[in-house]
Amino acid sequence: MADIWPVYEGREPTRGGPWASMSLNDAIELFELQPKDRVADYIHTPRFGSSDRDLSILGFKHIVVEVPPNEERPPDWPAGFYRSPVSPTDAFNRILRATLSAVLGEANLVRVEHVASTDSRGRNTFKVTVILGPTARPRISGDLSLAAAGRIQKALSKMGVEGSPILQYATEDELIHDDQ
Amino acid sequence: MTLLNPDHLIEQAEQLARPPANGAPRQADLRRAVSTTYYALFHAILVDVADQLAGRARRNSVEYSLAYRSVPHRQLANLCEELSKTTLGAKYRPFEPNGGFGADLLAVASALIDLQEKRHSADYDPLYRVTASDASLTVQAGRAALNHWRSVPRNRRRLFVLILTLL
Repeated sequence: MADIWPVYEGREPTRGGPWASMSLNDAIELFELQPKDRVADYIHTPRFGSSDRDLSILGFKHIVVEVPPNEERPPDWPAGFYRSPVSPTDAFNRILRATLSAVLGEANLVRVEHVASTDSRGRNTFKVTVILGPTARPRISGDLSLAAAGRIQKALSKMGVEGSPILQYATEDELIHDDQ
Repeated sequence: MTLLNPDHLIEQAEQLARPPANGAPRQADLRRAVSTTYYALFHAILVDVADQLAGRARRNSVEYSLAYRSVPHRQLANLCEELSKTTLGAKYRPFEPNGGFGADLLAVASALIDLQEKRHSADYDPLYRVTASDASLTVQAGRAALNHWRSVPRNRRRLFVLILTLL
């Protein structure tokens, strides 16, 4: 499996674990990787920016995909670290969308958005909003909605998010029009 | 004594989440739908707690009322978060049944975490906006969670209540 790392610039590129693990093929598609994006072999952890400074305060700057030697891969994809052209914020959304579309059905989703938040206990978390297609709502059962909540809880927990997320649904129409 | 019926709460939530005949849906209705859905699941669990601790035959007693009111929301959420982890904490591991707690109980745990957070926002956060789609899916998920709770084998529900109240 390929690990998806959010990476800081500076001395300490990562903290905690990867955001997600997936097959190399899925990672290539989701994060728009190309063989030329390889920035380091598997032995050397890549660092970006000034390596003598702690720049984590600036937030994640890169998405790096770690491809281990034992991962099944085409010949032009040697093991190592690949830097994705996708921004960390976009990558986060893509992981959330991939997580949710596996349960809710890709055809039912228009997009997935997230905002940083705190849960009822003050722990850091995210509010995740699924924008549904105009005819999608009747195709989603209570059990699917339940499964989606569970998947998001697990995915964010794996990313090191401590708090409980809120998963919300809306259509484009509902986002535009006022209620009372 | 007639206990609060979780199915009636879900039905009430469904009515609140239903689009009005005229005009836009009201936040007051949609928020109450979300909150009521949480309470449907919460009360379903409390009935099991009190039935086990005080006895089903003693539903009219003050002991039953005491047992019913013995579970704080956070304590319940803590246990549900623990059950949802890939690996149980050391304190809980000795009580894990062979083959785990089962899909139904894990679905309930996940729902409880989700619904409790939503309930908190719906009741207290002035910036929280519930859409009709969200309210309706939340209620449906709550009904599904209630069905999962009732599908949990009796011995697993008993174990859940024991861990919840005694550990």
